[in-house]
Amino acid sequence: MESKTPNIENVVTTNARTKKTSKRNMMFWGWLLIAPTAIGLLVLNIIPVFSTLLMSFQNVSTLGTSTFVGLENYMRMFSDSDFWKSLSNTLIYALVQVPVTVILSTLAAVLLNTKARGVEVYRTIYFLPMIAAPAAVAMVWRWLFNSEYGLINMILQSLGMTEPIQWLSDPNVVLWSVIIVGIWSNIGFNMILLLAGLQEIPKEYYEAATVDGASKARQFFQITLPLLTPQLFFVVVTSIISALQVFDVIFVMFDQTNPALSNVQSLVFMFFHESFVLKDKGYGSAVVIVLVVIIMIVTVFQLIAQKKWVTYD
Amino acid sequence: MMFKSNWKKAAVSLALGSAVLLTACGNGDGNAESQGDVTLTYSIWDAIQEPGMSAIAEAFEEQHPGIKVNVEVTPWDQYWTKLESSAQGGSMPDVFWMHSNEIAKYSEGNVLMDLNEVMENSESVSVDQFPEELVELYTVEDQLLGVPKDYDTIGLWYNKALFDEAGLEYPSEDWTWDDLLVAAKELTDEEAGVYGVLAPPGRQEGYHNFIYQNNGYVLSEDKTQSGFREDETIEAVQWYADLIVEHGVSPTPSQFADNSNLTFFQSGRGAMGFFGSWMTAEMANNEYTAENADVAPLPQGETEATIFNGLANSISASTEHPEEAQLFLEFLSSEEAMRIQGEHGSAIPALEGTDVSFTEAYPQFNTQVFIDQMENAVIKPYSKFTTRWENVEHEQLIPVFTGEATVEEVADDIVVQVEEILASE
Repeated sequence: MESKTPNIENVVTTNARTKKTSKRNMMFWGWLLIAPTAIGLLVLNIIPVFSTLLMSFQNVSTLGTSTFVGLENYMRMFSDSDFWKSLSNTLIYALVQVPVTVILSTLAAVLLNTKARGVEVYRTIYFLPMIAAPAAVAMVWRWLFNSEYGLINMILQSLGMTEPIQWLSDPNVVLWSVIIVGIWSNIGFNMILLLAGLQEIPKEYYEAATVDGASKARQFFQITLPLLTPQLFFVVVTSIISALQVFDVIFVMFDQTNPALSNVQSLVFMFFHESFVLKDKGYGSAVVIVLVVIIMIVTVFQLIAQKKWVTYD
Repeated sequence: MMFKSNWKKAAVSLALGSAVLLTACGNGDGNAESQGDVTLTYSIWDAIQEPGMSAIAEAFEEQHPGIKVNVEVTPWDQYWTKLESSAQGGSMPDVFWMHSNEIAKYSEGNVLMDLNEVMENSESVSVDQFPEELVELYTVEDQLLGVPKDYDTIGLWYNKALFDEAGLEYPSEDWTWDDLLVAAKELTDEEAGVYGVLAPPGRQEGYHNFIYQNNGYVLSEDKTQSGFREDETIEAVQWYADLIVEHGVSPTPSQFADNSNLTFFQSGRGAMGFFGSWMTAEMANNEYTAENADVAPLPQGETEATIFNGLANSISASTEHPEEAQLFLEFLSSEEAMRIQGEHGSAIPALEGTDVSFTEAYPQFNTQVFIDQMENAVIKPYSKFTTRWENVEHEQLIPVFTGEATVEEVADDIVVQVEEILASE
């Protein structure tokens, strides 16, 4: 960790050779201690990325021999309406879920940034969705969304709704169902991160602003938000990356036979369908490589835009 | 703040790291090797059949001390992914179930042991004691890659209580498509949410049966052409879809998205449904259907027909215990194991003469119909890339089942796409 001013002077009295050995010693231990994670990362993440990239240029036959087909998978993808639909579903999902989640998380963080009694209980409650396994969450929501027996429609009907909403089979509604579950499950995590950021903002700023007569709302927009931008940036970047990879919720809530599946299928879902159901791993790999490229481009743009709106003091 | 560059680095590395994180984890089970004993793994996908399989394993262990058999259940959805990875990694289970959808793929790459010799040398069982088409199904290039384990056919399950209430006679062997439709109309009560028949957009339990009953076909004999070229096929699928679209006697695909046809049937909201013989155990275990359901043969169109399929037991070519695995496979295919299978009601055993044990396991249902229908059974259509062209059929027919298109309109697209896939095999 860096510190502005060293508290203790590191006095080096030994000669240069011992300095080198101790440095090498530190290097050795450093590498040794991160080795488990590094090896895991290499074997389970980095190597598969390259092998997926390779497979996207092949017609993959898993038990026989794969043949190299160049850009054929990509050309096929660009004329496949399934791909474009999946892309648009994924983008719409991200464009709606991320802003709503971030806004709600910010509000929740601000509201929970108090020392009032019981605030810990609320913070835990908001964070709990993150602990539950995504598949379990989706299964419960699937029952909540059931158009005949689900809780949601039952409540809406008691409030006077006449036509039950077909959450999981109406082509116009299904993407919203997925978005709702996405927002619900991600508020907690982002809220905790933003809460940490809020707690770093010196109280003096607020005190000074109150003395100057600023309203709470003004304080929020002029003090809180600008000083929260580093964390907001992190939250937005990671939220977008994970939103573009949405899969589990869709997989659990919608069966293969669901007629509205094409309105909710995401790119990762298409990758799964092509690679593991239709057994065309080459094509599936191409789809997922395109997704990786999209995510990288979006992230690069965000990093560039960072200079414009994120204030590090 | 000093954190600025740390935040930056963290954000960037986490962003790029997350972008790279795209794989799902699969778990591998470690096999426990006992000292001295040989342990075989027997991999299956149906939890309902597990008691039967374990009973067979136990009987085998008694006769062969020194060989242990571990029955492993992996649900269907993960079974094939797991098997494929294990094939590539050289750590396949010793003996495992094989399915018609996948046999073509697993015939490549020498991952399955040729079982011809095992069957020829066996004194207790021979290949001619199994249904011919099943043996053919699992024989690729003269190598027998799986020994049939069971067969299944499709039945017309009906709700006796609903029929009694409406004062109708139960479905009989002579029923025709018209009889089915007339009864379904009488039994449908929209207000009460009860449907005369449950017709979800499915193939093996659904419209493929009707195609063959109308003298159509799904794939040509040489597996190069799609049956959707023929009017008979188109007519049959349209008749099936019309149950939903025109006559309203079946729930719609949207309704099936929320509740499966099984749920409808078991809650008394469907008077008739098409379920395979493998669902018998499920019907017996459910309180409602155990009391109120029974099964009849499928109705006939121009002719009688039902789709039949069968699983097989295969041995991994790279098993570390080939002799023991072969002994176990021989036992699995013998009369004793087949009877155990039938008695547990797991599935209809494929060995000649043993299928009666299945009917004895379910005295409350008329399961004899599953066996009788084998006379006019058609093997489930298969090819090297079965799931791919099945997917085409499924996707193209979605608008037909929601009433937005007719089978005739989509038939040409189906033909083109299916034949493309068949040509690529």
